[in-house]
Amino acid sequence: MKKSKYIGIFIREAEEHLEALRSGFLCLEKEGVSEVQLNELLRSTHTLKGSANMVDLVELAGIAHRMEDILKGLQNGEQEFSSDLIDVLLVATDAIEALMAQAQAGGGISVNVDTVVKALKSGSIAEEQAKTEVAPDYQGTERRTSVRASVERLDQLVNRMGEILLSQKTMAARQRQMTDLLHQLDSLTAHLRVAGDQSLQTFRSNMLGLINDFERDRLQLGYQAEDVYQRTMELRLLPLATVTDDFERSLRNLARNLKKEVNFIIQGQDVELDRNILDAIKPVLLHVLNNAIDHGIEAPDTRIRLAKPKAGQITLHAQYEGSFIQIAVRDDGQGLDPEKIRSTAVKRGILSTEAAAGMSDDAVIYLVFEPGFSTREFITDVSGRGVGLDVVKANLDQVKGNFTLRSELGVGTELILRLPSSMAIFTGLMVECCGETYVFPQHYIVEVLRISPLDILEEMGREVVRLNGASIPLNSLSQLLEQDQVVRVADRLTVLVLSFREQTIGLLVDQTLGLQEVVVKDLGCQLKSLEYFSGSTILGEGTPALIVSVADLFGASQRRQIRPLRATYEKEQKKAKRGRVLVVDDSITTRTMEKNILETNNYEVVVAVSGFDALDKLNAGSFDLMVSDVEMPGMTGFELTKKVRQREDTHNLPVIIVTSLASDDHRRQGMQAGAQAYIVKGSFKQGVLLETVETLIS
Amino acid sequence: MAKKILIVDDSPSVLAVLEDMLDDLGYEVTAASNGKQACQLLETIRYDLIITDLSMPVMDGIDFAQTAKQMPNCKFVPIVMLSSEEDAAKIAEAKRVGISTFLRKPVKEVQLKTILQVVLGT
Repeated sequence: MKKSKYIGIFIREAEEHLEALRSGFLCLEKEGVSEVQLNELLRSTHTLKGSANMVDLVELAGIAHRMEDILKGLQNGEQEFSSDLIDVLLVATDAIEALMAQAQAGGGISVNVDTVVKALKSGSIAEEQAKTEVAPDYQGTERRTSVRASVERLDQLVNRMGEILLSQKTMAARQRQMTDLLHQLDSLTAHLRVAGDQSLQTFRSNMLGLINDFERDRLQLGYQAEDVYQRTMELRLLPLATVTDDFERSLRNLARNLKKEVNFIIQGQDVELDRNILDAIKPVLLHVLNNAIDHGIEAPDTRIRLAKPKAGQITLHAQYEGSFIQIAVRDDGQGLDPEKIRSTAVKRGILSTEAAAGMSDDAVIYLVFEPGFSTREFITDVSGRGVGLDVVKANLDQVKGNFTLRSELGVGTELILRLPSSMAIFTGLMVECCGETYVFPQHYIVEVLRISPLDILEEMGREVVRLNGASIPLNSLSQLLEQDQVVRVADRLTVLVLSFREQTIGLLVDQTLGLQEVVVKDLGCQLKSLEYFSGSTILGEGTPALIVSVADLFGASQRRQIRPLRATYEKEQKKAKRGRVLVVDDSITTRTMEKNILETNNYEVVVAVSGFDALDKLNAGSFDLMVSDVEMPGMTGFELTKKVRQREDTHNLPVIIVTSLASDDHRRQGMQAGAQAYIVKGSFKQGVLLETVETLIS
Repeated sequence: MAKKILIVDDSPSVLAVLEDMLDDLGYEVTAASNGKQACQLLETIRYDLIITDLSMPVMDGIDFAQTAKQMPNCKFVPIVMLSSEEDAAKIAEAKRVGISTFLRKPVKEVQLKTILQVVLGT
């Protein structure tokens, strides 16, 4: 007989019936016995019995038969309805599931059928029996239209696709380089006075055509790669239902054991998440829900006394929110008591009495997530081991999830998880600090501020900045990372405002470099132990960058004592008080000479080798003055000056032209372009340059 | 020529088992998962025998037998009911609407063979 084939078909069929039975039983309990519902359930047990018999699963058929008897009894009034009865029926579904697993594995799993049948006959079940019947690790079956792929393989695929996406970005950088070359060619030909040459013109337009074609191909490749990438990512997604399906039963059991009445509502079960994330949040959700029943929802008589509905309500609501997924767990129980939490936290040595008193009620409730806060451990049937609330935090950190906890005493508690839908790609803000590029996941960033050192204030022994009326503790990335190089000087300091679990900190960085989609790569094993980083990525130009673990940073910023920031910056700024000058010249000799002159006179100098380079530098930082040559490849100093005038942020920037072009015509051109001063190199003397710079800056 | 048998059951496992059994016995088998689907098949195809389940969604075995018996293609085709039904009243009703034989699940191949030989006269 083709037994295994039948078993396969039977199991798929039986899974559907089991699911219908379980939800039907729960529904009977919730909404009472209805004829329609009973008929449905009867048909399921009946079919299950018949099919099991046909494929020779006699014990399973026997259980289904007994269930059918009970349901028939309910239908004709011979059987009395009770919660105990529902328990028995649910245990029977577990037994059936175990038998299915046994049939599939070909033995090895013991199921005490007699006990279950006996329980079904008597209509009630003893506690210890109930426990022995839970199906161990039953894995379900795949639908026939799908194939199995290991997560590892999918990960490899995702990784490769990520790399293809990156190559596409690298190609964009190449294209820019080609365009730059073309500009250089233009200025060269202008220099050599062969601009009108026909063959050169043809060459140029061919080259331009090629660049355009390249761009088109690159973009197309990019779209396709993006598409394939998205689809590959989707392969890793599973609906939330895969974890929440079991919840209803286990919560119901818990509520019964604690003699509480709870209505449990799940919405948005079809929201899809990366399976790694699902694995990480399953214990979190179960834990939070268990907590809600155990500590949140009051006993029925208490609730009645408080004029609340007798049955408590717990909702789990999942929804998409942009590229994130938000899962909210709310209960209408007694809420968290900030005073109690304060005293417990102090008692457990988590923080001092003063520190506890200084915390707001909103902040204090987060202490329940601190390791060591709760001495009680829940045993979850997810992993079989005890999970404390601090594990909730650790799991969420692991998937870069953020959460907020709100509670109102006597009214209820709300926990909102914000999760990336995928762990492998996210939008990051590139940040430069001490010459290195770091990536911050965008969803932690509230705002990027530009402040002056004078905006750094001191409050209760901490340095803070003010934002929208609130004080935000300030920290410096370079100090946290212990890269104690000289702080970079600029009159405006860049501060990232990061939010993590409703706590906010400001973080000083050298500058921000814009947003970019990044593909997360694991840190190699030699870097695994690195503090503050959760992964790495390759930027468009092929340079690697570390991804900052915001969770770790928050931890560190609370522990670490840092050097006073305002004093440090002011000291640095004093040194550079005379201003920041951009020197543009294609000749290294002139550049270096001008730089030296200005630097010895306490100006901060940044050099640029071409007009394009100068514009890039202007984009990246602010300057008090620009000194530029005229004859440069690609873009002349006049053109550069015109561009500078047109830009909103630099149209007032004083410009000094330093050139060997001494004719009046050139002078006029310089002035027309918008330069404030024109110095001819022939007559170039230190004094003249310095004097002019000083005049223009002050 | 092989005799044509239509089997009607909402359970894919039952259909799979029956299909293989009948195939082994040398019959030509078509499967339908409820009475309605079976009726659609009956409109165009003439079968030598129908084996149907009793409790099915959409259209159950009794409704199906009743409808089938009124179809020109099917008026004299024997209908065997294969079910785990134990309710005597239900079985009596099935006989009343024209079920010639009642088989109880699970059916063994020998049983099936004998019954079919009797009903079909092969």
